[in-house]
Amino acid sequence: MKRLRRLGLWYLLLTKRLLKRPVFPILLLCVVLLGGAAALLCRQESGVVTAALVWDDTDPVASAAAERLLSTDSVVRCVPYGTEAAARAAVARGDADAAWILGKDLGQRYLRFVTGDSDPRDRAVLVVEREDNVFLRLARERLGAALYPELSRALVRDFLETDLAAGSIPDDVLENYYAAAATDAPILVFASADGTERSGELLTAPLRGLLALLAALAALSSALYCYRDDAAGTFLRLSRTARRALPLLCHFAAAVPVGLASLLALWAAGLLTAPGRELGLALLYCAAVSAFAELLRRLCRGEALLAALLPALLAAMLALCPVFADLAALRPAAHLFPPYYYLNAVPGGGFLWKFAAYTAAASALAVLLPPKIE
Amino acid sequence: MSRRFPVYLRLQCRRARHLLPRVLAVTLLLILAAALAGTALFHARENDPSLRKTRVGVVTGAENAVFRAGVHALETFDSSRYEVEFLFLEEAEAAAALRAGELSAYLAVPDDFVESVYAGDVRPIRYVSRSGAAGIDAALLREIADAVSRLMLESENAQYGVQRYVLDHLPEADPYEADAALVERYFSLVLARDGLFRVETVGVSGALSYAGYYLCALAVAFLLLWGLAAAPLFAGRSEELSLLLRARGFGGGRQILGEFPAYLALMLPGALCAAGAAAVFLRRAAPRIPELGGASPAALGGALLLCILMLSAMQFFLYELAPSAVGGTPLQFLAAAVMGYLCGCFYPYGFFPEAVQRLGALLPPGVGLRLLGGVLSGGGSAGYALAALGYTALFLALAALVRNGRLAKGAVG
Repeated sequence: MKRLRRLGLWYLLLTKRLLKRPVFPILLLCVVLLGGAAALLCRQESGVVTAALVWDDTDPVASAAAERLLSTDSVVRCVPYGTEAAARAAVARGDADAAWILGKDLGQRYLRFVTGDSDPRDRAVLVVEREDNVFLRLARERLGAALYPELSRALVRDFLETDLAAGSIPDDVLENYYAAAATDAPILVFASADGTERSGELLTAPLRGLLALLAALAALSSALYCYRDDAAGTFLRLSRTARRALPLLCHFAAAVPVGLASLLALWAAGLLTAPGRELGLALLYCAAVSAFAELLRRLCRGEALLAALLPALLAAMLALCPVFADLAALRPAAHLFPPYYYLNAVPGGGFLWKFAAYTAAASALAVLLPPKIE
Repeated sequence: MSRRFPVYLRLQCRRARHLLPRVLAVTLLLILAAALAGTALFHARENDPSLRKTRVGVVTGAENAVFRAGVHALETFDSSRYEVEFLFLEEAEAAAALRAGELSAYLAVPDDFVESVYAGDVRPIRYVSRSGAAGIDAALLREIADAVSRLMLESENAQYGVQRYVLDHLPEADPYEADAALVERYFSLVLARDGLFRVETVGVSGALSYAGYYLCALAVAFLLLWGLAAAPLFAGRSEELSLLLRARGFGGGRQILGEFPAYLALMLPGALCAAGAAAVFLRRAAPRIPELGGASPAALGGALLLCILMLSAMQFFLYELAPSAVGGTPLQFLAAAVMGYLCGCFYPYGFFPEAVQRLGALLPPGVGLRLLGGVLSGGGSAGYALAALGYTALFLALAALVRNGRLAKGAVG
């Protein structure tokens, strides 16, 4: 009990040493503000693909499709343009990734399409793209979905009039049957692996990963600081055993405030899941990055080498851990870094045990490995 | 300028030289690691074509033959077969694969899904993805799933409408046969939906391709992170020396002018090494970055030097604000991550709201990105070059102000 109390006292003293520097509390405040800013960012209109949309506003069929494209909350952002030339110019300038030019008399084009009479040179929509890439090909599915209701009506009309020889059916009669059967009951419901209905917002998705990297960097900065403590003999009066374990506590004291500020930022950004579980994971992560930082400190000869390694480590973590993308082919290398375990443990599942095992193994190595100080 | 300035400059350069071998060694290590990772990624994708596609799991019972046939038809005939691969799995397997990152999402289809559609009481399919999944592909895949869902809902509504019309007005028609014929026509319509579009690819003249954009973005992101390597140069600075120099008439402004070239000399070789390695690599990848064929290497080199100058000045100013290792390095990273993100170093700036795009264009990494992009695409970049020089002067002036303030208080560290 006495030992535990002493450990707590040391932890408080080490934390106080950091918080005394004005830049550290300011940094923590910036982290929390970042979460709020991310939440604001999400409310603005944004998109993976920007399409310049041109349509004839006297054509009700085209107007209905355009209305759907402009009003749907989507990662494909549509911007209305007055003319085909203006839309083409926007694509050439790079203001838009593609131009979607809905053809004149769209209803007739649909009819020709469903009956198989459409002219390959005069399709329903002219799509102008700067380059052929997977984003633009997938974005066309959104365009297809917006065109589909009227296209479906054209198919129904052709099916009834031609295949079932029902004769000419007035528009209002067909629409009555179509609308009477219409249901809004969803065919697809979205769910997350952790059981929540939370959707992954594209713009805030990297926030958790970036904050995890910041906590890792706080621990690594503390490792740099410890070289100076060693040189100055700050903790020389402690016993040999205590001196071996103290750097871990130093790194933990640096990582925990950043971890807690990150949780607040995630809450502000609306990304916090179960608060109790998140707190537990954040503390485990702080322990993992502390062990990782201490392990590196013991492996590196002097602060100059560890500092030189920092950009390389961060670049590796950014590329290998699922911050912006999850590269399956490079996953074996990602197992070296604590953010990989943390980011995969957050959605739940068996990763928690791997995370705990990694932390335990790294901590044991960090304490047992003799330091290589210059 | 007094005679003390060259002496001070030489002293600072000597301090930087002490760090340089390690910085260069780590640069080479990073280049090697990046080359190995790139090669591994390339070979993995070349040897396993499925890695180029997004993997989606399908969880459904063996008795759901109609649905399975539909998925097989999509895999065989539909245009999506080049982007998406479907894998039939048990729910536990799919959930495990999703957690392990081997699947982007999975569809849990009720065993009586098709019957429920026919009965008019649809039991919905669950689209299960990872919470907060990273990446553009996850966002797009969700979008596509939503679009497909709308397509299915519309087809279902049409089918019920036709069933009622046949019952009310076409007593001679067999409703089951009519239903089957309609489903067949819808299937053909969905598979042929690409025929609605005439696609015209006009090339990237005047604007950057995705590959060209990411080349510039990666260069700026690399430069933003590179400043972290110089932390010991600032953390190990002697405050007594600065105070002494000031007392002898060598003020904060002159000290900054003496220290910045040393910092730049530390940053420049590493960045140029990386640029050289990138040039060797890009010569092989040139067809994939269409702008590289027409860009002048001298102009690109000049733009890169300006970027290094401006971003080094920014990092230097941040170190002046927080020179200690424990505050300075996280501050550098936070500034790099936030500015890099807002300016489009990680996601293209076109993804962001217009206000953020405008803000990003004004921030130093945004200026750097547009400067490199302008030179690469052959567009105008003189304005951005001037802005980069202006930023350099501004950051150095601000650093001098901060140093003078600290010296006036009697502390530098």
